[in-house]
Amino acid sequence: MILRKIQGRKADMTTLSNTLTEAMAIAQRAGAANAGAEHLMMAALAMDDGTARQAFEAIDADPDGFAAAVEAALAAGLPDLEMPEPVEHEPVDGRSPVVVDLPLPTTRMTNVDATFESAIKATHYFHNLPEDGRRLCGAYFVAGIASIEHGVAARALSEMEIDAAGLISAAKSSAV
Amino acid sequence: MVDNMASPKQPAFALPDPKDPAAALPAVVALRAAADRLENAAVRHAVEQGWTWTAIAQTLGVTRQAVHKRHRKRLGDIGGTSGTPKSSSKETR
Repeated sequence: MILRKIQGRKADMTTLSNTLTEAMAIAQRAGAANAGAEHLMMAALAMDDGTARQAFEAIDADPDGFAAAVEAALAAGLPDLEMPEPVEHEPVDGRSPVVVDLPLPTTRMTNVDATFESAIKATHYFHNLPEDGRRLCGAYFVAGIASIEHGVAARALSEMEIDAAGLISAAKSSAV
Repeated sequence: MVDNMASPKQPAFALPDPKDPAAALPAVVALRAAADRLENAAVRHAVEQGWTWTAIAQTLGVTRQAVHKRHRKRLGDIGGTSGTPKSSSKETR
């Protein structure tokens, strides 16, 4: 449904495709069975446009601290549990790391969880395509993700003492 | 001194009360993440140690297709491509 809406906007299609692909790759590197909103946030923060990072910085939050906050929030669910390290791709016998061919996003994505789905649906940009030629950028994803009340991403933002409303506001300002 | 034969097994850590979903559900998420990571690491070691995909799948209680889908590409071709044991005379590789 979202893809149909933005199909006329070629640059946006590319941006969306790249971001979703990267989010899946991040989730895979983290050893997660499904991609969650937290992985989408990390993908948004890695985007070249820099607007996601700007949103964090605008409220004096450290964008580079988000990944660690996710890990902390996850482990905080059961503090006495000795959480194993994420299993990274590493070369085996000197061969280069396996490059995983991720499918291009279609209107139906597999291996994403409910927070990821909700975050995409909550990304305001897709519901109200700007008339003024504004393009999809990282900040839009930040606003969508920050609006998700529950789950690891939400708890990671709490962990960073980030006020979700403040981040959403900063993201809207960064999205130019 | 506690008689270990008589006392019930204590868990290494306490799980939250299910009557407190705000605590219990994040605990489930943490357990699943730990299980996922342990699985990823253990499957890698299994393959490196020569386990067949069938043996791995059976031990995990899932289908061979499921372990392939989840682990084969991730691990590259360090494992055997077939379910048959390496010592099988049918092995053509």
